[in-house]
Amino acid sequence: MKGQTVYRRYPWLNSGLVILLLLLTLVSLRIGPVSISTSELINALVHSQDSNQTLRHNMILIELRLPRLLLAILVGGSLGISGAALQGLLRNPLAEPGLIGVSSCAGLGAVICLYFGLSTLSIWLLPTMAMTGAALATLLLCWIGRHHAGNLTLILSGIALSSLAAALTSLALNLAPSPADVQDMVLWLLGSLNYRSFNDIQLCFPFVLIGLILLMSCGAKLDALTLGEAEAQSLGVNLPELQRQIIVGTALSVGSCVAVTGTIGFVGLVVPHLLRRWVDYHPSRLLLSSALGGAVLLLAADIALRLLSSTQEIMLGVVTALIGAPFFLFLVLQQKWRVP
Amino acid sequence: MPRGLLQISLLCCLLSVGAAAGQTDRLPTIVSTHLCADQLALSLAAPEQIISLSYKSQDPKRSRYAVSAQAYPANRGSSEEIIQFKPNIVLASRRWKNHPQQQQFDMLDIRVIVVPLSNSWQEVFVNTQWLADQVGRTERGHTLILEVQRRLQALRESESMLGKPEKSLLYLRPNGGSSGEGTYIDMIIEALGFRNHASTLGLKGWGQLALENIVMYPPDYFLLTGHVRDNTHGKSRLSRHPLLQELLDQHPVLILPSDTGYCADWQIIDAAEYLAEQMIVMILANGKDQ
Repeated sequence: MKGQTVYRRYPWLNSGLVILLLLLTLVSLRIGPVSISTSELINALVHSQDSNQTLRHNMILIELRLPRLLLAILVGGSLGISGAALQGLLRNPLAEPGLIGVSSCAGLGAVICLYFGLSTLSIWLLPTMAMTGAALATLLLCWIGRHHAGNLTLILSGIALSSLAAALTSLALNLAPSPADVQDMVLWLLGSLNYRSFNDIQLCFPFVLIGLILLMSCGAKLDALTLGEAEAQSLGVNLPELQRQIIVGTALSVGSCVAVTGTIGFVGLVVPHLLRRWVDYHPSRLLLSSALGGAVLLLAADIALRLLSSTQEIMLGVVTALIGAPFFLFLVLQQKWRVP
Repeated sequence: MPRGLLQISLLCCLLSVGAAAGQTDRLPTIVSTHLCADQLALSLAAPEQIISLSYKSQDPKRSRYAVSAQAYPANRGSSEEIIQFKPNIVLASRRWKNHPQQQQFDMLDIRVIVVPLSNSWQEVFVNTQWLADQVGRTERGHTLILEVQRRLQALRESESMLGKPEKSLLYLRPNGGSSGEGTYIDMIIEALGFRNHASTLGLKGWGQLALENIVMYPPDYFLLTGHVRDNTHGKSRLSRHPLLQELLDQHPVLILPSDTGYCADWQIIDAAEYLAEQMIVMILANGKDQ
């Protein structure tokens, strides 16, 4: 009976998240230094050539606010679904894209590029190096996975990789040629969606799409894995292949997003936790819900920082941590209180 | 020339050289620890007065006086260096004034002078004369001010040729930084005969402008600068945005290069003249009604 209630609740959850995402989309398109009312917004999108003001509204909406909005949805969705997939694979509620070292290795790639000033040679070098960092981390983790390593080995390897990347990033900050370079690296590591354009979306979208497809297609195997590794294998799940699929999917989607926006934490950790109860603890159902939830959370955080920022921009990674950390603590304590 | 007259002339020359040397001996010696102070020291003080200039003054990427500055030992503004040079005066920025070794300098009778920044032409003249008085070069200060006033007047008279009082100009750094009223950039814009567009957009003093505001209310002209500190990847993101690039393609752009190192003092006139020359070239190339 309870299962049936939850079963009915699951489609409602996704519908609710989609409606919330649409509402936040409207809010996001309306918020900005230039005040644009809803009627002006519609007018600018429908009759963009009618007047000079409408044309400028259209430029602001299409070339400034829309790329930011789409990127928030892509990045939030990638982080959310990656967190859900990793938590399902590793059967560890603390798993998230940052845990396996993909985010930090992507960050290290970007920091190396900034340290050596390579970004001045071509603006595409920074995202390329960030994605290379993520790809190297992925290759290493796949190599470990191929040798039939267990999930614990995979987690520990990810932590080691993440720590090494963090140490090398700190070294680069320590030896940075000038305070301006330090500031550049730190700001990049804090993550931002400000002044991103469709060029950035073009860069990351193909990788995000492939990553999302890989992650979405492993739902049934993750459901089987909830019974245990041996039981899952007896049901035909190839565990090393599943590991590779999720690691590659995470690296492609999160690595390419980090390459464009910088590192953004907590979304992959908090969102699956928040939604798991609503999907009756089914990893397969959690994937889509976490993608939608991640997009909602990141878009809400972006709206919040735009409302809070005055002359100095608050960084997105800071806002997600400020929202995510207390909320996560609340969830953990709430679960603790429930257990007799 | 009679021999006696020649001897008297030689004697007079020797006496005047001796007097000048004596005057230099009495002038306070100077160590400058800040780029803007370096440039003021070079323009106001006698060469013999200057003991050392900051290392930045020797960097051609930051200093317009790099060649002249290389004639002097460089310093990094440390207390040890100051004590070693034993100057009468240290020219410094406001931040340097909070140096923890200030008491030591007082004991050694080393006077720290904070170089004043100017936010109007009147302040430029007052501050230049004040600093010239402090370093014992009152006459040099007076001459310099007259020269700047003459050049400013010439620039204002040439406004009729530039003829853009109704046009607006937006100063924009790669990070979106701009400057409204009460800044030396505002003085340059005023000297060139433009309206400061940042002030029109509500900016007072230094601050940042959002790209949305620039797109919605674009200026007639852009004034871009490539400050070294702003050119890092993250900070220059606004300048790389396709929408801004599009605007820059559609509007005339003046450039204040990053290696010019203009400070909020009399050197602003150099910047204004430099930009006026660009304007003239632009007008000649495209016609006055651009």
